Amino acid sequence: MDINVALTVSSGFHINTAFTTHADTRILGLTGPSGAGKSTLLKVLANLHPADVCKVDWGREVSRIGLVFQDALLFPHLTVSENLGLAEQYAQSAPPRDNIIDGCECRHLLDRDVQSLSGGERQRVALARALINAPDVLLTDEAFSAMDNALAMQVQYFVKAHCQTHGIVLIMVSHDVKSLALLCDEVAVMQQGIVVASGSPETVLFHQAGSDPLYTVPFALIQGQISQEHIAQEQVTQEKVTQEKVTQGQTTQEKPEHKKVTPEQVGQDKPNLKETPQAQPDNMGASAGLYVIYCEGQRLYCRQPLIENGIGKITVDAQDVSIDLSHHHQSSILNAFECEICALEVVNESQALLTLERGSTTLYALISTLSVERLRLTIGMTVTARFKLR
Amino acid sequence: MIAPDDWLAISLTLKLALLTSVILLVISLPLAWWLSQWQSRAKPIVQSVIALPLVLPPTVLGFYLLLAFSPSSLPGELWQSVTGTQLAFSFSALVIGSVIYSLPFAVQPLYTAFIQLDNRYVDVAKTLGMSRFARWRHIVLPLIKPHILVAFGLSFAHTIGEFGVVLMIGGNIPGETQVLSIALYDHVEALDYNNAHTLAAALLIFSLVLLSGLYRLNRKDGGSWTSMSR
Repeated sequence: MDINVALTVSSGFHINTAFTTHADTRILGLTGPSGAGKSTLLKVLANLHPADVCKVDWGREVSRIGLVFQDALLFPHLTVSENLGLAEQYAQSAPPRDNIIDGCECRHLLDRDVQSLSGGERQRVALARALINAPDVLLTDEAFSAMDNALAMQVQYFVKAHCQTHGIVLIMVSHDVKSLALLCDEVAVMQQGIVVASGSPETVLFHQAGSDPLYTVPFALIQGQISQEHIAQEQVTQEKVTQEKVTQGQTTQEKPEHKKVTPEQVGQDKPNLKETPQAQPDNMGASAGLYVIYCEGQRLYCRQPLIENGIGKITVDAQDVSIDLSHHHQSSILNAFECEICALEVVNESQALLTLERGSTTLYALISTLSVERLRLTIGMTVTARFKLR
Repeated sequence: MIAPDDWLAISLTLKLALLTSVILLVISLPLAWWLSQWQSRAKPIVQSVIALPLVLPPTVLGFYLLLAFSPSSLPGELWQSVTGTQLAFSFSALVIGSVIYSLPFAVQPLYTAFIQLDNRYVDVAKTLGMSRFARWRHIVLPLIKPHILVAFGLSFAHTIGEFGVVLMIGGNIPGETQVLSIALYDHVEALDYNNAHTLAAALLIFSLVLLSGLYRLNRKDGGSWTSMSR
């Protein structure tokens, strides 16, 4: 897509954005500090705000542009289902209503009064309303900000998949750069009305990570083949649960084999996992509701990866990563990733940022300078990066 | 008991109030919308003109209207040439006078409603592909409904209580221009205190009930139209 917008918002504040994305880009993330002009840009793109210049090539024919505000703005005189009904009434084409309602987790809210909804619930309904209206382009302005993390990711994954399936161009404005990195084909950073960087999430967000105060905590994007095991194991677990239910009366003395465990417990129960991945059938990921990703030949566990075409993606915060010189798994932290230190930068008087690489995967670790000294970390060393599940 | 002539005055008053309120709504909705969107230095002047009936003695307004309605002035002459009847001292003159007199009571609540209306709801409706008409029908009018009811109720109540303007431009013709307040005045002048008491009490109770209803509506809505009531 090709976006060229210019306007004067107030004396001394101009928005002037002219940039072209890759031809295949269908999901664009827009981020930047508050007051950078992101919301105004969205309003201009939605034809709700006048501009001196507004030339946009969406890369497809566009007649309906939906906009979801952070405040949701559900019509207060209508119930949830009436809000959705009105959007459906004016929809361009018959939308997959039930699919959208379920995807946005709105099914149980349908009969509710709009006033009685929480902020996150409102945002979900607002997203459903916009999707039911079957737009060609969907603009979301911090539209997931009031949802709790797990639900926000779930709904974001659904919105992304829905937009991909239906050919909807999506522009997401968000401060949550990690979500943008996971979801978007491309990301643009806006500052004081100007797009200062745009490109793939890797080039824009991670390179910016160390230098810009907005992204003081860098993070990495890890991806790899999703293990099929968890799916098979889930079925086994379900069968087991059914059996347990059937035989419950007779086996009161014995504890069932399957028990709900936390990831940390899993690590303690099964040490040296990394060293003998093939020797032990991996039923832990499944029993703890975890996914397994194979990245650079190593196993990584995660709770809520973005899964596309068998590839799972997660983000890892630099401050969640610790460095271990021992290869033996003696800690409760599940994920251990063997890699090489390829850069070591002291970011302030007490912290250092390590850039760790293995194959084409890059990881960042924010650790204390004291640890760097104690472990005598140097560039070129092979270490084990450990990070907790998020 | 209420005298037959007074029944006539009551029905005439209700007819006048109803007609005035309906006409006022039709005029005030677009006027208030336009005022709420209009940004100009001249805006306070236009607002003052609309609000004038609030502070002007009704007799002043009535006097000027009487002059305008007379067959020797342009409006009165035009009216006579179109309808063939004289405007002054007719029911039509009462309706026109009442509309002007009660205009601020209809415009102000609607103006407040439009100022308070979050335009982003209209924006959302636009992005959903609604036409201008659909946006008014589905979004704007339902959202300002309480204010519409208040505007209607205040215009109605204010027209019922009208006296000075009616006396100046309508005179006192039973069945044509003799409204309740004037019938009451007649009874007092004739020292017919029994009938005066009945009419006065009826007006008092009616106004009280109507205003209580409006205040109740206002409390539910949280709006503030009270600054306009005298």
